[in-house]
Amino acid sequence: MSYDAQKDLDYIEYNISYFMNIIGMNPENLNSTTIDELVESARTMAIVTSARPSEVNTFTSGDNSQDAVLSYHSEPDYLYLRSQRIHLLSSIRRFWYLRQVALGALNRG
Amino acid sequence: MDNLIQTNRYFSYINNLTKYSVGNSDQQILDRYSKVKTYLDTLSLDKRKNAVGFDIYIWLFEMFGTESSKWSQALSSNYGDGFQEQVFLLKNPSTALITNTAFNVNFSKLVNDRASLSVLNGIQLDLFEHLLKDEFTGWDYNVVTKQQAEAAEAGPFDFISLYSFDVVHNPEVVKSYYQMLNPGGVLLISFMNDNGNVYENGAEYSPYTEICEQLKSIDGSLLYHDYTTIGTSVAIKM
Repeated sequence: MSYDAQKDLDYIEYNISYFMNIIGMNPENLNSTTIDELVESARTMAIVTSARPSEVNTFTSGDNSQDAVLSYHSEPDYLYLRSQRIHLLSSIRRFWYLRQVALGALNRG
Repeated sequence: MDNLIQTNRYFSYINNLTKYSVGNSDQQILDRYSKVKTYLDTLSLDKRKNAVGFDIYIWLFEMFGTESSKWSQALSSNYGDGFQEQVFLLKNPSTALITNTAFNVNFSKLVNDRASLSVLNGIQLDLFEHLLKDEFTGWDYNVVTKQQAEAAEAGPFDFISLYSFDVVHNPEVVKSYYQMLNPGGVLLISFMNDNGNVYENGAEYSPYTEICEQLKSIDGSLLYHDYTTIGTSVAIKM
């Protein structure tokens, strides 16, 4: 037995479809979807974690001092959302990359 | 760069204390990885930051396959191979499933020669077969698809070596790999430190921590973690 590009691609696309469902996109549109659209949709899932320091005062009752921002960045809610966001994006990007390589193998024949 | 010099000095001392079988030389890594990099370059992969971010799994061949890259001079990458080999040889398995055929050809060959080898289907296997396999002769292995593995429909194995990237997208599937172990079997998972985040505030929310929690929740399992280099977790099925 050797590498089965079609089985690999099936597995990769199943996982991309799973993540597309999570971020509110239709997996049936996978072939016409770009990585930029996937990343953009994923980012909106936890936008609070990419807030700039000047925007954080919404969450710190107007206090945007360094201490307040650091304290906010230690909050469990923030840490949870940040982790979810990072790993959602990582998984989507990794499977997108793997899909490109698997398609390369398929096209190679 | 200062950090790299310091890290290299640290690991050069450790390397001087050790002797192991499959340590890939700097030149071997450079030759193999640059070969893979050259092939990957023909695929016109989208490498924009927005498309790939900084993911060591995606960038590894780029990082270690470029002679001028400071990563290709990082001794810690060689040192990390030693722990995997140590666990494999201590277990001395009859049957093994591995995933890192292209990243570590020497280790793959060691497993091939000392156990009945199975390899996980994926781009690692494709790159290995397409570009690297001919470096050695005498290969004899089965292929297990990820669909089979996640349904625990292969094995049983005495030894399984994975990368966290095989399971981190859905930490629960690590249980299926564990399920494919024989009693007394060992499951080793590399790249488990989440870039150091599993040792920091908020670690409990990392999916890498969740992989460990999944393994710890199994009756009769034991779990160990080596925190050096990339972080390696080792589960034993009692």
